[in-house]
Amino acid sequence: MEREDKLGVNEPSAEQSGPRPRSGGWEQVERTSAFAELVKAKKAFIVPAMLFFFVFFTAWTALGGLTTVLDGRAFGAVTWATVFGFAQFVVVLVLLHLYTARAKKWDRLVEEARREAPERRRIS
Amino acid sequence: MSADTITIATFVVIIAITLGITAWASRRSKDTDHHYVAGGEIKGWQNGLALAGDFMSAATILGIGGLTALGSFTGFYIAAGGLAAFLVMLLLVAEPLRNLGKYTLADALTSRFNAKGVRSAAAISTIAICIPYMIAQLVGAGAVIELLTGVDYAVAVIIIGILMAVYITAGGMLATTYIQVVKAVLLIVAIFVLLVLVLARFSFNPLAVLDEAGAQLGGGAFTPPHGLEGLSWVSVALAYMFGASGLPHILIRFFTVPDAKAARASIAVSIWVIALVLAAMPIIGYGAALLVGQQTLAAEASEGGNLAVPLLAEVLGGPFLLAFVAAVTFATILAVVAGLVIAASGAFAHDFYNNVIRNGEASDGEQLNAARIMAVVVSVLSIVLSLAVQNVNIAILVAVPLVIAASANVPVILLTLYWKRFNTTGAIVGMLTGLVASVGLTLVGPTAMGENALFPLAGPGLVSMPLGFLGCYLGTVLSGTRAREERERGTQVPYEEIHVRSNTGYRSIGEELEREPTSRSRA
Repeated sequence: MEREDKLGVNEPSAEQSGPRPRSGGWEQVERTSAFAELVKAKKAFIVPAMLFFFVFFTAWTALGGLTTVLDGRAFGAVTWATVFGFAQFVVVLVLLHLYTARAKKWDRLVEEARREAPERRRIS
Repeated sequence: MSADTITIATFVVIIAITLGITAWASRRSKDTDHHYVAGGEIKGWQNGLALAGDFMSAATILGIGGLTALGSFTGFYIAAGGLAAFLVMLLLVAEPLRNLGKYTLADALTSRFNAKGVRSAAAISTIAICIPYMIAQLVGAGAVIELLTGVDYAVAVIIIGILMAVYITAGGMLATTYIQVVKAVLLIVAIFVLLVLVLARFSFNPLAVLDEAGAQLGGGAFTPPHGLEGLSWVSVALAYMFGASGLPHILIRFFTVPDAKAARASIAVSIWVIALVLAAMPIIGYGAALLVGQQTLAAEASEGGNLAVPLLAEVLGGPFLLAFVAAVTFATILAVVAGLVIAASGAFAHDFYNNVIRNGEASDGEQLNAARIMAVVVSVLSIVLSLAVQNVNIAILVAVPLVIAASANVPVILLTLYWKRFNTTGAIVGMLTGLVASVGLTLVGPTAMGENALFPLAGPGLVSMPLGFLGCYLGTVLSGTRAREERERGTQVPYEEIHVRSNTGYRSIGEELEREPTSRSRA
């Protein structure tokens, strides 16, 4: 069973070096409505999620390291810098679950593009 | 039975398990594909444990525990930065790279650029990352094992090096992965036991641990360092956040699973594992500070607090728990170094030998031989270097790999995936700029030069990473050949191909278009 599984992985041509004549066809997939929707959906989630997380994480390290605003006590001996640090863990886990939930829909769009692309070829 | 006897007995058990796995794997690891990426057959959850294991090196776990135990806030930066790294990987690189890659980082990049220059640059940066990383692990390992068991430093390093060569030449990536999985499980168990035992001393109230640590350790424990040191840590945390997405031994893990879905599942598993383990680390670190006592810890301070966690184990569970934690540390070192040897030997054997020297025409048998020979060479080289540098400050060796990954590899990986106008010159220039900037700034920085440093930041990522991006951009716009012209000459594949392949995982467009519209895909 392992041999079958790796047929795809083993396809020698595609990623080996050396210039090669290319037959078109990729843009046909690109032009399917399912692929366009896939790219749009991914962008709409990944770009804001990445920007938000970058700002959230850098705000913690920058406010903690360059200012003293996080030095105050939140409760007991625990400072806001520590609370902000643990909040990173929570945000990572939340974003992980938002991503995986969306990715399941994206997998369906990939399958749709697969079915749509050969049809477009027949039409064109 | 003395404590040393128990420790050595558990070490022997660990070695026996890993050799058993290697013997089993060697019967299945018969071709190049199995050697480098375990035939792409690893299951998502197994790869997730192995990924978590690759990140949770002895340096990370002992280091974070030690920093916390000595009353430094900075352990939090490393912990959260490491977790952040896995989210960045999930959002930006894991699935697209899985769809484009084959055995090495260079394979993924040359799926777009048909240039030996790009492959060579990627191979050089892989080696520049893996060799220092490996030496740092071996030097740390030798010191920890010497302290825990009394086995001589040189003997410890040589034993680990030989085990490495055996695992990889015989069992390849399959053995490496399962050793990493076993180690990850052992590590989780060890951390969980320590957590419960620490909490038991504080009537299971985590806040009591934190409060008492605050009282005993003073303000530094919960307050980040400020000023220049604060800025330096901003830089280090940034390198952690992005650097892991450029570490070759982490990236090749995504090639061991069958598809992008499995790559995604692996990250989900590893994020949960790492989050739980790292969230427990402050409790364990403070537990060490309170239960082992600052005097004992200060006596070991020359070890940078690396022994805080093992010492805590001894206080909580006597020689048996100490032996278990020591053995888990040993397994951790073996597993992480094995992954590094695969990545480094792949750069030599697959990238330089097969693709640059032999034009990709070496037979499978020749490739497998080259891979195995290089694994032995890399192991021997690392042993020799580790014995030579044992009295050098290894902090430099620990700091450099992550910064190189963030500055040389990450910009090129991201632009290869997402920037249509990116070209061959840009990729090569960007990679070399990032490499030179990160190594150069570390060598003129405080880590290497101390007081007389020419560059103020201990972690240069804040400067070298933008320089890597700048190198990519300038190389692209200043080179005479535009991406479009490269495509006409056949030195770069059409961007549509990269765009579709990285998003869908199609391998061959002909196959996809000939498919009957009604037929289901193999997924």
